[in-house]
Amino acid sequence: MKLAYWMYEGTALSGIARVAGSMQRVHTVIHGPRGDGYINVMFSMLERFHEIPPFTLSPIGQREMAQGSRARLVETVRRVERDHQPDVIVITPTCSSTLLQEDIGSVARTLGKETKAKIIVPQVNAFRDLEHETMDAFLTQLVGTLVEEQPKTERFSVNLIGPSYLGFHQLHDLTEIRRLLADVGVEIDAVVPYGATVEDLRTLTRAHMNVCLYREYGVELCRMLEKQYNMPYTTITPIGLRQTAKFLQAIGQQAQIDVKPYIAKQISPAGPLSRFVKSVDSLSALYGKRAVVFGDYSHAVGVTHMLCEIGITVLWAGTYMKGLEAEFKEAVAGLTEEAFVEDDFQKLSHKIRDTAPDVVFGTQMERHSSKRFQLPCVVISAPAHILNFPIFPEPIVAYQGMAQILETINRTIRLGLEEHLVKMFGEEEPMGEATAPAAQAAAEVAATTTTDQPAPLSPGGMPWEAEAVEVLKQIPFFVRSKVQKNTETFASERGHSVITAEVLYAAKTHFSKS
Amino acid sequence: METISREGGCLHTFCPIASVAWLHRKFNDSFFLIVGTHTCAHFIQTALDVMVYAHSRFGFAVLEESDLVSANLTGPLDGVIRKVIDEWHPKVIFVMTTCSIDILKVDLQVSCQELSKTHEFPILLASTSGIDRTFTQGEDAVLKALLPFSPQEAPVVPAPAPVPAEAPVVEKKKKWFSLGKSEPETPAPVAAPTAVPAEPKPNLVLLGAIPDITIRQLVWELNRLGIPQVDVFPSADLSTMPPIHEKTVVVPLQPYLNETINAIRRQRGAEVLSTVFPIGPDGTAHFLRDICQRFDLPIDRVYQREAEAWGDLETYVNFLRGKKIMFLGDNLLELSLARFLTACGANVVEVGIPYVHRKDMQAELKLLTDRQIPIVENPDFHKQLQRIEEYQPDLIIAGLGICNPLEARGFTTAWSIEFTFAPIHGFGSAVDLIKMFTKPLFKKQTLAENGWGMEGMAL
Ligand code: SF4
Repeated sequence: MKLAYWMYEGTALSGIARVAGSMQRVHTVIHGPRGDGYINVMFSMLERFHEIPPFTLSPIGQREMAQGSRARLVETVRRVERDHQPDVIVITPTCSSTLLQEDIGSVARTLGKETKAKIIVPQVNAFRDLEHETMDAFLTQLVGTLVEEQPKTERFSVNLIGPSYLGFHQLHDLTEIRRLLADVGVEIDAVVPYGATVEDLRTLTRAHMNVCLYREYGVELCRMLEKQYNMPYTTITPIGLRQTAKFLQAIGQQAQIDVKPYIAKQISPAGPLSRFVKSVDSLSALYGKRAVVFGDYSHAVGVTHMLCEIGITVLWAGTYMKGLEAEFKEAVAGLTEEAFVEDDFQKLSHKIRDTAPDVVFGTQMERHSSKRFQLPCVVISAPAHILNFPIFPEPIVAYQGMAQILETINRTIRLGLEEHLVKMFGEEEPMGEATAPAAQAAAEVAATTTTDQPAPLSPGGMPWEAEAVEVLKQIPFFVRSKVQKNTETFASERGHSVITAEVLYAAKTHFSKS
Repeated sequence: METISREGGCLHTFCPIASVAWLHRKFNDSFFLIVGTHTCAHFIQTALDVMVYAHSRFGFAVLEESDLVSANLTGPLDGVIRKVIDEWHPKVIFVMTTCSIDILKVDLQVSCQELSKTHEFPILLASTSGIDRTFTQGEDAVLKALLPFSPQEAPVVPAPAPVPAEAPVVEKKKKWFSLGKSEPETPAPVAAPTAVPAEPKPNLVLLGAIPDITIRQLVWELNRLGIPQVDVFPSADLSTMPPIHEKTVVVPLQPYLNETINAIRRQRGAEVLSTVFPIGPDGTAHFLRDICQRFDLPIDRVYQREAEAWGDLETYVNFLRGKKIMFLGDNLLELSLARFLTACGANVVEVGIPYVHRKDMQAELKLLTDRQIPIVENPDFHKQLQRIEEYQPDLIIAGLGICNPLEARGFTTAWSIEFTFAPIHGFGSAVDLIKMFTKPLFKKQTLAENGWGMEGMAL
């Protein structure tokens, strides 16, 4: 038994739902208790579904627990065939049905003889497996049962493996990739699973190459297609300058297209991207900032690259994809001092608190942690939130993605110039709102100190002399608690027992050096 | 009850662990621990959009494969509980069970009792599995788990000499924690030798976890009607739960507390007043009248209050009159809401509801069946879709999963789950309540007037 406040990865059920629910004319029967129909809610709320999502529950209730659920399942599948006439009916197990040890496979085999739809039961352990590995295994299984050898398309074409519903900005990414590839003259034959039909999967071998957009899933499928049908593939996610160039080059090489002129054009000095990155504005707002990065594999790797490319220091980079530890460390080697895997939300939250970077790049959960510690945060990875399903295009990948992320960082971090002004002239503290604890404490100490007795500013903190408190009050309120903490760490490391103005100034010098 | 038909296929509902969303802030120093699978955790964090509460007083004890083969989960559960204690220092933990616990047939009751002893504070079991139950029933399970904290007797009153007013409370304090099914036998520890247990005194207890501000107003209404002392179960603090015994009259506030009601009847021999629920001016008036009559109090004032409340709703009522409204069935509040809408003059074309407790709901049922309102228990979603096309309702009250698709088909919807979060009880909430029905309709009207009609022609 494991205590969890938050799970970074979804379940096998959500993985299957994302694959099957993204395809056309595929209907999924969920074999589980009534509440597991919440999958419908994810599709209709987050993706603002226009249609009733293609999932039907075959409920496990008291009756099914006592007498077996076979009869109910058969009835549900027949009904789905009658009402929806899909090409494929996926019967998916859930945690609960797995624990019931019901043999869905045998039900499927019997039913398969009478239905027009092909019945597929995902070969997963619904209790244990996680979302992404399930997506990969299920995609491979689906394609494996459907695909056939085909003549190649006349012009060079690729399959895009990855875009699906409920992914992190994935449908916006798809638009951007379509434009990117069209610009360099590469055709897209099929997109999997988003919008794919059974026929698309059957003829997947028409394309010359597979492009696995997100390393979390789809690689198994690419490997299988390489092994059995000799199709080359790439798994570079085009986030940031270098990764995007590598992505284009990997495809260009296969297509025998020289992509260099195109790349050069995207980052030409006159273009908006270069002008922004090279501007003095960006120098003060972004350059030299200390960041931390956390997310799934592809976004954590990509964003780490991108930040380094614009001169932001990545103090550490982590991913929750535990199975990809070695690969992750290699992918960010040389870009950050510390690379790790972690799937415990609490631990990561504490790590952010202890690091206190200038800006956090993370998932929606890190946004929450950052808020608690009053740190700016840019969300760059799933787990997503309804806010990650914007109605206007917000890709993460390629050049538009880069522009979008830069813009978000720019808005998130306090603009450089503004920060200067605050430092020069002091700032007005927000009225009425609760300010940083250190600010309040400083005010209180200053107000109540009648003697010159040094007092701690926060519970458990070191005592501060009144003079040091006065200096602290000069520091902008939004960094005050950080300065307080850093100073206390600095002092205790050097054996001081009281914070004097002298200690504070020494600490200030020390930290501005690093 | 000819107007109740029964189908089979009410699928678009949440399971009872969803109730953690409104319960986890209800009790002081509490923590809610959901023992289940990865699915349960995923459900709570995605479907409910509970990300809003990233750091909250609830969490999951996620079963691992090793737990599936172990005969006793006390050890693993203890490990998780120790971590929770370190972080939150709760004074009570609610252990919510899920489908997997039912399927594995694990008995966590004994584990919870043992762990309560080890950690010296109550660790309570609430059976909230999603097998055949809908989400509001989670509250029922939690309230039932709290029943042992209601004393059987009135607070101990010192007999001979007058003592300071706080004294009885202080004495009561020590005894609030006791556990186990055989609770009745536990004698009340008497703090002072001079004190004797008082004869159970008749009292009135309102039952249901509704927002404090709403409950306060209901209590105030009852005070003004001549009932000076009104108790509420549950209170936010386990040490101040009201006494419930054979002289208690219990009046439920929510229509889904059947198990708690059952336990109150069986274990405490209390009288459960069967009335309608104080939802809408009509329901609130009916509720207050029945209580007054039970205590032989005059009811004239209730009529006056009801008239005032309807007066406040007038424009909304005029707007709702004749509107066709359909409930697909989700939160078990459907009968009361439909009764209110009917009183507003709306045309309720179907009351879908996951399940009807015929005994506890008899007063509501009578009002609906008298008016020939069709009630469908455990409705079949696919048949409902056909009936939607046939009835063309002006407003559909539906589960979260189907609202957007129905809107896309041109229908107007309200989320059924919202009614469990919003204050809807008493005269004071009547405006909020009716707005939950009129708001989607007004929105539709506004959009249509501004070029967002179904035709999509903005000219
Ligand atoms: S229906 Fe059961 S298994 Fe599913 S989330 Fe609810 S309690 Fe967990």
